[in-house]
Amino acid sequence: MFRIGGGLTSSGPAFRDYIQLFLQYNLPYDYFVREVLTATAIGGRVCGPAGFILRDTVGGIRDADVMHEDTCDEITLSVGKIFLGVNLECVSCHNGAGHLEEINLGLSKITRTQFWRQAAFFQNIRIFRGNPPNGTDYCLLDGPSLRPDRIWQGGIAHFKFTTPPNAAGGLGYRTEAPSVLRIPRDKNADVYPAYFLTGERPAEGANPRVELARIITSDFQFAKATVNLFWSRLMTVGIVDPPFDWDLARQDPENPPPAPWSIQPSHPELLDALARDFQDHNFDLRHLMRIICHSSAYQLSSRFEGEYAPEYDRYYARKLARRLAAEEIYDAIVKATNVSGNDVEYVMAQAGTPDMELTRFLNFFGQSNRNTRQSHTKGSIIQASLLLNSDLVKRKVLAATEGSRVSMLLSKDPPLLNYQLVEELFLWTLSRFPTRKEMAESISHLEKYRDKGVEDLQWALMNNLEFIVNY
Amino acid sequence: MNKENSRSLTCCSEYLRCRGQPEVSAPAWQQNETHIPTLNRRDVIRVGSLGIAAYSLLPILKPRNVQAGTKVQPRGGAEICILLFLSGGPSQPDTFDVKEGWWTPEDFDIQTIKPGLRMPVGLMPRLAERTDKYAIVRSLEAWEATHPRGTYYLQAGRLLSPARLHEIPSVGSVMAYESLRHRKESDFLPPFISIGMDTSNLIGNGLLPPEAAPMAMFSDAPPPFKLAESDQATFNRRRELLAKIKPQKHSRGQLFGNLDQYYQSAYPLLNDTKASTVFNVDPKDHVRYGNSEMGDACVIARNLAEAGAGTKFVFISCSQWDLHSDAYAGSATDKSQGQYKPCAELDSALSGLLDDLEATTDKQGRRLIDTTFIGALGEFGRTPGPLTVNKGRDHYRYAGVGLFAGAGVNAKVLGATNEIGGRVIDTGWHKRRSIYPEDVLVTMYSVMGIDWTKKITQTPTGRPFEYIETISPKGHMEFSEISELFA
Repeated sequence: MFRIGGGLTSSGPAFRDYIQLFLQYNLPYDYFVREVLTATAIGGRVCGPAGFILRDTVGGIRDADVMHEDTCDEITLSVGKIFLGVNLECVSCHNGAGHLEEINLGLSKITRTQFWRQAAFFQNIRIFRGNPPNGTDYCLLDGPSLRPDRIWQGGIAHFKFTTPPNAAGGLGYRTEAPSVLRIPRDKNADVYPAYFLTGERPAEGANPRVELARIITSDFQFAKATVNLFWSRLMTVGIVDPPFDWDLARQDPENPPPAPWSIQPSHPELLDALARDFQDHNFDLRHLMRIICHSSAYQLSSRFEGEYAPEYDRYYARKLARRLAAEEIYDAIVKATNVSGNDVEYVMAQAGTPDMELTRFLNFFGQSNRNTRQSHTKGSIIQASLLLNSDLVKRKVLAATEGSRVSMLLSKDPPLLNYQLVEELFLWTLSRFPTRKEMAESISHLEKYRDKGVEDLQWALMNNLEFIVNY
Repeated sequence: MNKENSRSLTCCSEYLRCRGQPEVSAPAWQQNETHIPTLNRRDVIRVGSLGIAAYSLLPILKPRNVQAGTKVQPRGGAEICILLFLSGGPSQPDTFDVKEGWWTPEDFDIQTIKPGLRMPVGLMPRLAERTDKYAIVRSLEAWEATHPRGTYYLQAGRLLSPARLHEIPSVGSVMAYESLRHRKESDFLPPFISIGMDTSNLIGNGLLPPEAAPMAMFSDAPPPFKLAESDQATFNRRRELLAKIKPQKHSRGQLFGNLDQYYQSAYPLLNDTKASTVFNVDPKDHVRYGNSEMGDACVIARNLAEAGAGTKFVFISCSQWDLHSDAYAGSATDKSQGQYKPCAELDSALSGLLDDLEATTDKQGRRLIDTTFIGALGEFGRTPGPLTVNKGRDHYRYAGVGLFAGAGVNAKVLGATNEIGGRVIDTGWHKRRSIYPEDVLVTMYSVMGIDWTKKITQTPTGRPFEYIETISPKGHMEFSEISELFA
């Protein structure tokens, strides 16, 4: 969700804060969707929800130009992917027919004109780049609400539409407009706003964006795609997987697709039930996460008795282990050692400036920069050497470091016995009790080295792979 | 995995959009785990035998599912391959395929070095003096014209397919994988090292085992390999404890085994004092190689070649070539901007590398230049003729230049373009068509002694992975080594 694009560079912090507050207050998710789809802003910097649309701004040859139709297309791709789980990239350039029959049955029936009609829900928006005193920012307006000449005369330096405004006051979605596409648009296509899944058109006189927000949030597919997305993040594999590649012609077990296709979701009934429950609970994300986390599927052990095969992943035969994300790993280090330094949020807000050691640490562990660098959870030799030999870990386990977990445990009065120290360190570092063997080995190490030994033990636990894996 | 379920959208190259990277998240099992059952897991840390290379057990590797295709004879002769990726796309008409026009700045100082070879001496004085050390190829053509896709193509030798994004390895990982079976006890360095490349654009090991993954580093942030003298005792004590409490067997999935392998590869680097010197740049070299990150990366590449300790592929990313605007800003005396900047960096860095490799010999008395293959090219060329309205040059895939040196490459110029550098008019080689990224990769595989027709049949998606596919975006195409380089 929080991806930075062309127009979001200035409005990133506002968008981030908006998402944080939304999550903190646990507002209904459909409310969030309606707000980001209908937001207007005289500057992305001062209006968080506008960031969702602004980031998809497509510039022209000159930076100040905004390619209106291309921008509508990009927003539509984001909407399809994030809110409906459908990847419309292919049909944004050509009809599905003749291309996607072997890839996505549902999409093979979607035409490029349908895509344009979907994009036309955004045809009245006006995005332009302004130059307020402290840097570039983007303005997002609804066409009919403002007279264009007013804006032109308003002292905004760079303002140019690639398409002239239409009679309704909006920009329209014009298929003869210049395009960054290699395939030109079809000049004769009949384009008006229409929802690509049902053909529903906005009510006469209504703002099409408001209508789109209503249509999407009341579509059952919206609930299904959302619960599937959360399921896939929590369980590592989605019921429909990958979660942004739904094939809508392969969802209904009562109405199966022709051979050789099979039903796409691994558990269609579960998906429906979760989605209905999500709707019934007013799109409450916390409720959704609670219900998934309380399920016996989520609570399964990652151990598996007997021979495991990769195809069992689809059936959630065991908890699927996942390496923690970069930020989670650093948080885990801080939690375990009680030594914070700069926290992750600070580093994110100040991108690049403050603690280079931490910034690099996060980078090496696959932190996204939300623009060019996507997050990943792959391992690497450097990650291992960072956990083994960087000050971020080494300093934090020392008894001499102020406030460290080790110093706190060692200064308890009455002093903790060795087995208590071992237990405490296991709980703080790995959130579990030691096994009998681990206890015996750890105690004998502590008997030999005592204080140094306690430091050693926490270091060793942090370099135990369990520390960086959710399993 | 159910095959139907693993299908995903595949992009079509002819419908390219000027869009950022495709956003396709793979399930974690693809991100973290490879399903190529080739390696037995090493479970036990060998306490006390700290110097032993992590790869020492790798001869057990049995790539049963790797098959060779038609019979080809790899050339061989190179021990290591260094690829300078001129990220952004260098301008062919301003550099190694220089074309003069009314737009050309005077201080490019274009001179005839020898018949058929004119060089912008003002941009690259050192390389202009060393034209007897490398070959220039002027008939390169790319398939892609956007950075993410072009960058992908150069590393993978094929179109980006979101469906296979997580199983296609890069050329470096294939070379690393091929080398694993031959690694010696003394090979303490990772087989594939990437310097300066943004890790999200860097293609990794894909379906190959994690030992073939790139070690991605940045020349301004040396990896924390150096274990301080004073830390040695503590480290050994702690590691001993870790070995005792560490589970002997991972019963929770392959992820643990994969992550553990990285630890096993890190230990020898931490304990080898040579490792920290390899990755550190001597201040004198830093100056001689041009005071730049790219120069430092080339110093490290030279160190890796000198060390001869198991590194097979070094991928160096040199940015700043994407000059859409103000390409002629700066001057021959102010090389801090425009075309002058990346050219000056390449000039010093590559000259330093060529000089040093020529002057150094390995244990068998061979000159390093004879056992090191060097390539320098970008993901595509740039629009020819006069500059655009933004005083720059945009992406252009129909013509481009590449430099090749070492491992038997003879100094020469291959191919020619029309008067503005926009179309290939003389391909300069036996295939009589433009040279594509695939041909460059075949050449690299060939000098490294790798049969490029091999394929791996057992893959997560079930579609075979061919080292080099014979399917190009234009349909069937036989790709070939650029043997003319060595004639």
